[in-house]
Formats: sequence, structure tokens, C-alpha cells
Amino acid sequence: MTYLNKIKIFVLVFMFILFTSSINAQWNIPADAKNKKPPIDPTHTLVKTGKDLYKSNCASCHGTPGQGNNIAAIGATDLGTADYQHSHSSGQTFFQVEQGNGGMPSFREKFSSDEKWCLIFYIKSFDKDFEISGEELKEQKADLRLSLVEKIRTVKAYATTKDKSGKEIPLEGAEVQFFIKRMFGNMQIGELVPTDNKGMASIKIPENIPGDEEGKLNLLVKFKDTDTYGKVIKSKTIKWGSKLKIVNITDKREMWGSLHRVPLWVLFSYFGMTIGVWLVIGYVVFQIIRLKKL
Amino acid sequence: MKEKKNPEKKSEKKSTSRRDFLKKGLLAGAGTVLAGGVVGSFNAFAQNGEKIKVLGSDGKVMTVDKSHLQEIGLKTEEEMQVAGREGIPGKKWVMVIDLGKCKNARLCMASCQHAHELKPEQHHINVLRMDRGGDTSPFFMPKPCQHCDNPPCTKVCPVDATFKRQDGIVLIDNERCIGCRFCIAACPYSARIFNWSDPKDKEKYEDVEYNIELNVPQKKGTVSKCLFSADRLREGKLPYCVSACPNGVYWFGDANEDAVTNGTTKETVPFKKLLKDNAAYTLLPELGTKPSVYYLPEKDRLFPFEYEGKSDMEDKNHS
Repeated sequence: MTYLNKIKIFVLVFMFILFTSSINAQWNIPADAKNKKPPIDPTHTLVKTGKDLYKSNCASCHGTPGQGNNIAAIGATDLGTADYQHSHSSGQTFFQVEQGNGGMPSFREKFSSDEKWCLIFYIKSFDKDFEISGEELKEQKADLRLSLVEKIRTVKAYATTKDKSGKEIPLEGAEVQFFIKRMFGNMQIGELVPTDNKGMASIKIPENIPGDEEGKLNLLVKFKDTDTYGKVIKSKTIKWGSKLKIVNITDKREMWGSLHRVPLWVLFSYFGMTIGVWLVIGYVVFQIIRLKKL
Repeated sequence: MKEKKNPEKKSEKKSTSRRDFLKKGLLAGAGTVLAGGVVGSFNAFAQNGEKIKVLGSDGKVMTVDKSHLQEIGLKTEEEMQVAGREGIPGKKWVMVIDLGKCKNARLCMASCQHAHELKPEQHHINVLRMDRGGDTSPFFMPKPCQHCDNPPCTKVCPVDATFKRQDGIVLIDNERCIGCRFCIAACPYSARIFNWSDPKDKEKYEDVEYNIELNVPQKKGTVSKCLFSADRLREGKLPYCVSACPNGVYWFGDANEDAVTNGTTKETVPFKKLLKDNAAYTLLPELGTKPSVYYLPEKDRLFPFEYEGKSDMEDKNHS
């Protein structure tokens, strides 16, 4: 082995160490951050919220906890292993989510403090000693009723709940969402509307929402806070959308069309030229025959 | 004139008699079905005695009572071809790609290659590293077929193998393709690939009917391309790449409904408003191809550009 080769290998090894160390940068975690405790106790709902956040923000690198499908090459650890759970307190994970380090981005601005704790509850739920110690928020059964005001294109939703004696009373201050059903999901229209003291929330349907061929729209109304008021979804078909005119683009004569949809100018110019050329040839042949006869 | 009239009359007679025959046949058929239903309601396992020979999966010939047979709802290749050429009426599919969210996770590519039986080096969708030059920061750009409304590729096909459907999707028919690769040359977005060798898992797909909306089984010597997951759209599902993305890059929807849905968050927003608010653009608009794929510029980035440990284009300045 020559001297030059030795140097090459040395440099390569050195660069590899440098590269891996830059990704697996050491975490410097202050002691008070390690001992930070969550301000709320974990509940099933909070863990579920954390799971949803994890799926859309963390899973692409860290994989599913405990499955080992994390991308180890970029320094992302499997958060479900017993090893990780024992060596990391809740406060420590919270700090890491906030700060970010090396390959891991900071989520300080992305999540609210509550969201971060939900995320940590979800991660910690893979620890055997994890306990769901908090109490779920009390459910307040509520119902929705819809009525339409045709003239001003307004949908009114009345929220009601039952008092202790089982009598129906209007529900005040509940946030109601209005959706229009679309192909792959429900599109929210307008902002969140809280119900007034009569339990009513209303929304004006904008004029330019495309409906089907008859201008029909499928309206869905529900409470924002489904944990408190239950999953009440009311739907109604309204006729206030703009009418869809189905245009089959393949009916038009276009250059990109098939043989049956050739633009007319192409047809005319092609056949015009072909017929013209044959006519000329025919005329010439005819003249030659006449020449011979002379 | 007389002579001309006669054959018409004859054919009329013929057709009426055929109609009568069909009517009678239908009546008789309905009668049998009704009777069968009545008998069947008395005894669910009544056997009408008619046995049919069936070839089992282990290769043995068995006899099964006809009443126990059930038709599997599989479409024949011809049905798939007709439906695939027609498209879905009243739809105009569009895709919006948010470049600020892409961090080169490449899960879109993986799910696409899995669905369409592609080899690792074959891409219907590819995530490219892009640089706008000067002091700008590089970014990742997923690039599927643009499904142009004025497609240059279908114009050059000599055998009508590649075509545009009424819902805006540009498809290719493996059964018609002769492998001339004119379309590959015509496409300004390099969206098409060629099957130079036998496809992946060729033996596994030998008996599978060709699905024009999935382009599976792939075929050696033919062109393949992104299909906007036409098979998934028929089921009302988002395309493979869109639903595989972990970072919310893709929006997909129907422009006729003016709504697009994010594949990751499943949030649905107005399509034109999304384009307007985010200064959306299309690729190579100067060519007049009218793409159905829109891009949102790479602002408010979720992730820093990082490729093989470097934060700039590795081939930008050689050292």
C-alpha cells in the first residue's frame, strides 16, 4: 500500500466520523428541562390527539414506535423501545421536540404547548409503566337542527342540549362548523360560528360554490368540539350551488384527438392536396395521350 | 324502387321475429328465476340437480352444484379498456404540489412504484433536486406527469395508444403501444419511461388481465407513465402518491368542484383560492401545454434542504 493510499483512507475515515457526528449531534439538556412535568394528566383523548400529530409530523423519520421502521441513517431513533423510554423523561422529550438538533427540526412554533404534551403522552404510552391517570372531559349530549332561509341563502343551525330534568334547552357558546361535501373530503365554508343565547349559529352560503348538474350541494353541519358534544353530524341537500355544465373535452376536434376527431382544416388541407396532385398527374397523362394521337 | 323496398321489409320482418324470440326468452328466463326463488325460499340449500365441472386451484376437476356457484365481480379486459378510454364524466382532476413542504421523504415514489410494478430505477413520479440559480436556496420538486390539456405526446402517437380522456387524464394502452417512443421525445417534462427489459415479477403477472387504468402488468418494449392513479379515482380514493406523502405536499381534487384535498391532513380547501393565495405556477407555461399539475413556490419551508449531509447542491461547485 502506497503512502498516498494510506492518506486517502485516513481522510475518508475522518470524513465519515465527521459526517456521522454532525447528524448524531449530542443533546445538551439542562437539568430543569429534564424534570419538567406535564401540566395535565394523560387521557385517552389526549393520547389519540398525540397519535394523529405523530403520524403526520414525526412518523416520516421516526417510523411507528416499537416497529423499528425509523430512518436510523439520519439519526432518527425508534421512540418505542424500552431503552429509549427508560433513558428519556417526559421533560427531556419535550425539550428535544422544542429545540430540535442536528437532523431533527425544531417544533417550537409548529405545535402549541398542549399539542407537544399530547405528542409526549403518545410516545410515553409505549412505556409499560405508563398510566392513563387523567379524567376525560364530561360529555354534554347535544343535538343540532337545521333550517334554511331561501331568500338570503342562509343556513341556521339550532343547538340544543338537555338540562337535569331532561327538558330541551338551547345550547349557548358551542362552536359549529359548516362543510360542503366534496369528492375526497369535506370543505369548510366560513369560519367557526359560536351559537348565540338562542342556541343558533347561522352562515350565509357564498354564491360561487360549484354544485352538481342541478346546482345541488351536500351540506354537513357539526360541532367543532366532538369530545364534549358528541359526534353529531347533520346533513342537508341545498340547491344554492352553481350548476355544473359537463363538457366532454374529447368531443372537440383537437390536434391531440384521435383519428376520429381530426381538426377539419387538417382533413381539408390533406385531402385537398392529395386530390390536387392526382388531378395534375391525370391531366398530364391525358395531354400525353392527346400528343400521341396527333 | 320496388326492388329496393323489398330487402328493407325482409330485414324488418327478421328483426321483429328476433325481438319476439328475445321477449319469449326473457319471459321464460324470468319465470325460471322466479320459480327458483320461490323454491329457494323454502329450502335455502335446495339443489336443482345440475352439476358443473370446475377446475380447482389445486388442478383437480370437481363437480359443483350450479346453485352454489357465484360470479366474481371481476371486469374483463375489454370492459376495462372501454371504461379506461372513456374516463369519468363530469370530472377534471387537478394536483397541487406545495414545494415548501417537501423534504425528499420519497414515500410517494415508493408507493407509486409498488402500485405500478416498477423497478427502483423507473419513475412515474420523481423527486428532483432543483436550483433556481444565483444565491437562491435549492429545493426538492416532485414531478409526476403533468396531464396537459394540450398534450404534445398524444399528437405524435402513430397508433392511438396514448390518449387523453374526458376527465383530463393522459393514459397509455400497453396493448396498442408499438414502442416507437415518439411520445417520450415529444414530452417536454420527461414524464414517460420505457420498459427496456422484462418488467418486475414477470412470472407473477403472467395470467393477470391488463388493467389500462393501472398499467399492470407492465410489458417489455412499451412506454409507461404516471396515470394519476386512475384506478383509485374510480373508487373515489386519492392517488397512491398523494395518500402516501407524510408531509402534506400534495393537494388533489376535482377542478369542476373547485376543491382540493390534502393527502396527509385530509383538509379540503377551495382550489382556485389556494392557487391565488400562494402564487401558484405551472411548469414550462410558455409551451402552451396547459398542465393539470400546479406548483406552490417553496416558501415557509418546513424542512431545510439537506441531501447527503449537504445543504446546497452537491454538484454546484466541485471542489
